[in-house]
Amino acid sequence: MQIGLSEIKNIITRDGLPYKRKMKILALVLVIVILFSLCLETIQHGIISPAKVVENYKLWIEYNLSKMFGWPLYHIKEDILANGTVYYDVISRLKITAITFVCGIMLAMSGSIFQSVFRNPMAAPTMLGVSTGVNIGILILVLQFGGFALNMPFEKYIYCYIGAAAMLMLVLAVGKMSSGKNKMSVYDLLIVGAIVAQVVGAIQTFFIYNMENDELLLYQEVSRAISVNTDNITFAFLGISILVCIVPMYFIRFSFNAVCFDNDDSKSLGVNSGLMKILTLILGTFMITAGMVHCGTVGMITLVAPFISRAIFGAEYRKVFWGNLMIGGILLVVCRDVASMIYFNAEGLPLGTVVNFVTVPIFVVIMISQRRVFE
Amino acid sequence: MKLELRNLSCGYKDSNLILKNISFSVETGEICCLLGANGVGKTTLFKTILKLLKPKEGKVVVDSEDVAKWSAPKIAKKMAYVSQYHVPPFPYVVKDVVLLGRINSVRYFGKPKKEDYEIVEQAMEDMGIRHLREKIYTDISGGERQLVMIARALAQEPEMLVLDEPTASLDYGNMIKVMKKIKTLQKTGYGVVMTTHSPDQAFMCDSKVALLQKNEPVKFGNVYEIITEENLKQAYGIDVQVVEFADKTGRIVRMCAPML
Repeated sequence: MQIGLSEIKNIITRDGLPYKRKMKILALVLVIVILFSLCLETIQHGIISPAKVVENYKLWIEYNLSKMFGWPLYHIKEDILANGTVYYDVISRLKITAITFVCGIMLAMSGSIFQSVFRNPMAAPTMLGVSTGVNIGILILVLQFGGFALNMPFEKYIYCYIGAAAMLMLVLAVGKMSSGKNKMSVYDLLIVGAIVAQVVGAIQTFFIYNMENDELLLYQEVSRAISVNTDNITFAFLGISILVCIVPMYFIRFSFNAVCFDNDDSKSLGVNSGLMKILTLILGTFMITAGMVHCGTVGMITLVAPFISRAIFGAEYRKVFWGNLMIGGILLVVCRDVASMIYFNAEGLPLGTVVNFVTVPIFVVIMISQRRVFE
Repeated sequence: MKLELRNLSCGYKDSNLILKNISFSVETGEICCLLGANGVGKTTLFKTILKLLKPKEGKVVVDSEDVAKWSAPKIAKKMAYVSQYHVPPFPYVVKDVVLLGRINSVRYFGKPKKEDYEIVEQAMEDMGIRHLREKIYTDISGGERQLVMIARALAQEPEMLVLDEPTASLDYGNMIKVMKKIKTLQKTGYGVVMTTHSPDQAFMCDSKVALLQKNEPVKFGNVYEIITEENLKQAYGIDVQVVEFADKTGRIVRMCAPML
């Protein structure tokens, strides 16, 4: 029987309805979480009233506009002084929330890429040894600059990104060597990644073992990213990461589905999935690096966010795309809120610790509720 | 469209050719069944036809053009492949699996348009699986999955379907259902190349047959010429009787009866 065009239109609209409803709910949750996060005080356990927050944003915008266009600053500075520390708390909270949200987005994206490429819902982006690379970067930074390392965001980012990139290249090169004349398979890459990370990790442990006490503390502080750096340079790095990673992924969000099927299958569909796999793995690695550099060891998000989004939106990558990003962002912002609310060592808890506490139960619940076997 | 194999030899290593010197041709509107014992190289031959493996000698020719020079998208426009194992690791919904057949026309940076959805719905309608469209692919039965994969292949809008054991591990009823659909496809003008383990299926489709044997030249021709007691004995090493009878409608039916 021939299907008419009007019926197709109906089908498309009808199919789109549940998706739209779910997205609306998710957007609502996102807005609530973000608003709550913006009203939190940075370290103390208190909430600033929304009216006060808005008032301070106004001041902040006015101040920046005045600075930009050379308007008189006098009365604005007076208002800021009148608001006292609240002003600085509110503004730094805005920046921290933005950084956290963007990192959450990138972690979720990175996780979904790795899980699709390795066709395994337990695949983690750190499997290619990125975390070792980032830690090596920080180690070199601390050994080279000592106490100054804490206040060198630009150098820290450069060292971490270079460390991660070097590690990835090392894994790719060894993978290429081990596969010889044959095409490099992503599974070989996995084994090579584990081995190379072990070897490099051993060297790193040797250096850490030989560190003095204060150096060790410094290394821990820098690597856990306990204090978030809200300099402009951070935003520049995050902006570049979004442009380089999320935008291309947005455009290939339909054809990316091909990587979930085996190579022969996708090739017979007319897609060169081999190249797509390698390129997206590189993007995914870049994103997990960004997440780790700006928010510390928060790798669990990469497992949990795609899991939740698949449970809500199904498996088709186009449908999961936005939901996955939002869920990643929401999760990390919630973790950040929890971290800020717990008073610990005058600094708040490291985000990574909270992420593990918050996400592991979610992960267990999902594992149990999703007992149905996909194989 | 005409698919020709010209003196094709294939295998994974140069030193170890699995199949040697194979020549036959299939046109659209025809079904060709590939028969042969386990491990004789049926899947290897399929992979070579689809350029998933390089031919060691000879060539695969489509409409007098060498397929070796074609890109993957160009091949995908002419021939669609349904492999034996195709279980995605994630819970894809049936309609999304079929939609993936459109990847080739949508290309890397596009997304499906209204026309693509139309083709997909029509493919599901043709395979009689529209009632499954919201179901999760991994939850449906083996026979239904096979129909979904054929629908995905149809969504590619190919001229020739290459099916690797489309009825493997299906129960009797599902096997007949799938075979019926394959016959309908042939009548609508598709060419079908399929592997099978059952000579009866070749009789059902009234198809051409290529009987592959180790270290023997391929036997190619009409099903009645190739599926003979002697040839089956040679290929599988068993005694089979080919029986012929008239069904209720008076149509002559042939079947193989193994001598136990």
